[in-house]
Amino acid sequence: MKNFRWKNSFLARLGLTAGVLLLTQHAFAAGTTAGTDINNLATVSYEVGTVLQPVVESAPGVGNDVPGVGNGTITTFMVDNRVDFSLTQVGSTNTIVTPGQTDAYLEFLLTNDGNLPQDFNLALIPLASGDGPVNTTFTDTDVELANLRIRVGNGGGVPVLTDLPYGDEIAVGATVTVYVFGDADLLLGLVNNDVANYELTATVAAAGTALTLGTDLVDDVGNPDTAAVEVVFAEGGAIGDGVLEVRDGFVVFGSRADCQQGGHGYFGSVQSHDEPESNSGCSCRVHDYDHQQWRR
Amino acid sequence: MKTQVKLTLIASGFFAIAAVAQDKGHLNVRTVVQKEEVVVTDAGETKRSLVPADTVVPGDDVVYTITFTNISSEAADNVVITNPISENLTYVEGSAFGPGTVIEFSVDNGQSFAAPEALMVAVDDEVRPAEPEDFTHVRWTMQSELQSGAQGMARFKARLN
Repeated sequence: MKNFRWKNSFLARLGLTAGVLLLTQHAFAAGTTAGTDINNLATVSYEVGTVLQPVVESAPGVGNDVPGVGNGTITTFMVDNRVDFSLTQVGSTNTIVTPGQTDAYLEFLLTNDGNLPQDFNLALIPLASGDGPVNTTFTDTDVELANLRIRVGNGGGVPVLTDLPYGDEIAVGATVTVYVFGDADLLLGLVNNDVANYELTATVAAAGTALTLGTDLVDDVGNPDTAAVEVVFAEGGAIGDGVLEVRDGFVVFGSRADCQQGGHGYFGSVQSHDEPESNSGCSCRVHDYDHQQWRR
Repeated sequence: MKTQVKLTLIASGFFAIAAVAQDKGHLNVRTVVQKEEVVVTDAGETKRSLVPADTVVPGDDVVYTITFTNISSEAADNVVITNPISENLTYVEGSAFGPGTVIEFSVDNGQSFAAPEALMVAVDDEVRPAEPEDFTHVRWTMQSELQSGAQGMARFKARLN
């Protein structure tokens, strides 16, 4: 809602035109909240034989013919639940990790673009070779990491084990960070160039009870009802299914000491000017984002 | 005595009929809200149809149709239909329709009306021409009498914010 300020000069200027003054303006937000009743009542005034008659208000159905204010009935409909959300990967390449590292994670952003708070059921599916490319470069999946966990960040910037594993009461317009990370032994036993790719799925679920994952929503197509809030899947602005997927993964390389600049999250992004380090006889390479190639 | 009772009954019956007639005015006014569905056929043609507003989400267009019928034996003159636009709706430009009427809009909650091109609004120290999202009311003014038994129609489309 915009604020309007009145000044005498404006009143005067407006008075010279056929225009009229604006007192209110319609609210424009992400969308009218689901469950809102949109009411309408028309009023008809008229004369009979030059005598002004009491107004007649409208009514749905068979209409209204009883004169007088208050004798009409509103025509109404209820705003339904437009499910719209996005799930995106943070970054554009696999997270580089080192054997023995305990603080590697994948990071995603989940945004509720609908008109009602929602829960989101999150799941991680390991990809296999042949499931298609992930981050362009990393098309092979040859390992599967154990004990991966999903957590929805509470704003701390790093994954926290005690955070919830699902999106809980995500407000309209809000974005949360989804982390995928493992136990301390996540990367033990892995060797360089091991790739572990995953698909994170987010399924919209009913909100309403904090700290409880609601049931997955079902589109109400074919079950219309003006008096109840219906679910309409429209993620991404199109007809949807209430589910979004995004892929990302880990790639193992070098020791942590060798590749301090080569990872994701704690390790920061690697730019073309970052030079790889090398010591203890370990080789290390970093991914050159600018030139889309590996450098040793 | 018998005659007096009869007269009393007749009189009370007359007043009852008169009361009913008074309750029922000259006009019947009905408003229907529908949703506009747009379908693109296999041939690439765009077809629009009106369906019940059972499922409406932000971005959908709804159509309000007001019908007014003269149910009396007398003609009604200076018939004016006024319809507020919900703050959750935005009038769709050029959609108002009403045979035999002059259509005007308000940007000040129905205090005054004018043609769209004559409406101005003041926002943050600036005066600018009114836009459809500024409209708060639509008004149709019939240019002729609504004869006994005749029906008129007024319609407009709005988008759910």
